[in-house]
Amino acid sequence: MNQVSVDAAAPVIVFRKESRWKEVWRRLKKDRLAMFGLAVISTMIILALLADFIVSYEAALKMNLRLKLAPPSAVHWFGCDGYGRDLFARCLHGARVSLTVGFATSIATLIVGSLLGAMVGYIGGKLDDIVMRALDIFSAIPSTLFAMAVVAAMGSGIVNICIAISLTNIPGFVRIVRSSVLNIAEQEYIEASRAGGTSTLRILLKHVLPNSVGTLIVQTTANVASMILTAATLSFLGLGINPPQPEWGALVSEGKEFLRTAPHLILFPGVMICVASFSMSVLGDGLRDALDPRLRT
Amino acid sequence: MHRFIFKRLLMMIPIVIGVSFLIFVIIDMIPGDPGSNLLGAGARQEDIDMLNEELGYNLPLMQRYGKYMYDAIFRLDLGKSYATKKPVITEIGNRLPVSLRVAFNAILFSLVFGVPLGVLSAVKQNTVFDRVPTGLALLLAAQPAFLIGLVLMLIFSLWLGWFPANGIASWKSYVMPMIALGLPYGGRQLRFTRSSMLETIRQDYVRTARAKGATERMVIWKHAMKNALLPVITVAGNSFGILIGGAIATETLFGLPGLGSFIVSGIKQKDVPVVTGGIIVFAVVFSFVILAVDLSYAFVDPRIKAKYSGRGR
Repeated sequence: MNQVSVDAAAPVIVFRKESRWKEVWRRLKKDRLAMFGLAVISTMIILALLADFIVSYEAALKMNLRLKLAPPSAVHWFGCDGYGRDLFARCLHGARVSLTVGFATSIATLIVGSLLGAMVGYIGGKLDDIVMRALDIFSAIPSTLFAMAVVAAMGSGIVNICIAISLTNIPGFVRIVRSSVLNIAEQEYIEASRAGGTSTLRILLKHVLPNSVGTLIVQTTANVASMILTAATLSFLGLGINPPQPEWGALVSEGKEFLRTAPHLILFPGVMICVASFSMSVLGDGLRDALDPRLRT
Repeated sequence: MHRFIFKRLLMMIPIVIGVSFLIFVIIDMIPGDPGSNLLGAGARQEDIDMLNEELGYNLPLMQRYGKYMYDAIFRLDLGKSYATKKPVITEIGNRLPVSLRVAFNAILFSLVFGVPLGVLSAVKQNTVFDRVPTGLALLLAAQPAFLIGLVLMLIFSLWLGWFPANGIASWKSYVMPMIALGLPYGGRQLRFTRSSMLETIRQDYVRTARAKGATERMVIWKHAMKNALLPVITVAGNSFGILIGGAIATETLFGLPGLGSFIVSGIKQKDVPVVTGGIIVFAVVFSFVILAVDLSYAFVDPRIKAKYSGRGR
């Protein structure tokens, strides 16, 4: 009986979703700033993926003291750092680390945060109280310090940085999802579904989460921007990836020793950080408007 | 009202206990022990053991935590730094004012340019007075504070020599950290003010105010502003945590003897009392900021004041 009703409903849902995403894409395409962000961040991702074909990783590590602090030139587009390493190669290979951290942490936060948020929001009661109080503790610690302590405890490296940064961002995400779920859970179609005997888990996965998908997408896109900044701050403070591996924040940190003599060392990685974070945030804004035109301001 | 404040203060106790325990456990997981960190690679094992015993580090984790909390609560003693042997509480007392000055200067600075420009861009929506500030705000909000700090340092201390690049000598030392931290924060403030204001000026009561003949200036600054500011206050308070994060990088960059740089060096040296004490203080400050934000609602909005004073809470 139950099975039949689900099967009958399935094609309808698919149809609705398809038209909705087409609609969103159509609106997003009109937003020039958002499309600019999308184009820039896509280019960055492609360049980072193809980094090995553009300049080899060895070029990013090869020291050449004769080229120490060399200014930008035709051979070394971004100049060379304090060890004579090619800054363009370091920025390009650094993009791999920085973008990976930005996207991986946002996706991890999305998965853990939305499941936990939907669960506590929908089930409520004691579970909600316990989880929310535990999250209060996490969010009372300044996130940069917390992430630093976690990286120090687990050791540096990309995976550990991702875990540390995700941990600091999950509480905020859970709160957002929870309030969105609380809102949806009051709707009549959820009540109808529950009255029809659908299990809690099924309601969560089939009805509640799909309906907060807009919130999730917007928040995740905005998160990528802020996580790129957090990762850069962490490695700027000296608790991030292992040197000599390049990463944008670490490059700025290395460059600050030569601020007076070679300002291009902070300029190029700095611009990378800003451009990546800016592109993701305008894309996030555009998505928010495209997903919910009523909010358009 | 008093009941509400009292309840909120009580709620801070479990948070402080939770925060301290969490930090204690995490810091304990950092590889190595303070003895060998302090004495360096060439030290003899007996000396390391002796130093660890002296620091009380040889006890099991739970015993150390119990002793730490006992001292903290009953003797207001946050232990001594492993590295400098100085009491952590005096060190925090010296450093917290520096951090707070940096943070509050930055908030003030961000509000001073963020809120008026946000109102302007909402009132003049879709004109050049809207596009320029909004675009600028977007760009600023995408910057890490340490990067703005480095650019300021390059221009104003290295090239022009107007402000010192390092340490605290006079008020001048606070100018660049304030701007570096305030600009990205103010960009966020501007955008929230704008969207909150846009929502407010479409409300019925604003139309009523116009209809009854109030001047445009009265409508915007009195009727709309008061209501539009509520979300702005919330955002200002809630993003205090983000601000602290930026403040740590800024303090380190400008060599300010603040609490953030103190904790950062503590983490690197596995100085448990320094990190735990410092983070507890940050957590308490943060909780007070959130409480202050909630209370400020009551002053702005009588509906919320009634809710706080109600028996239900």
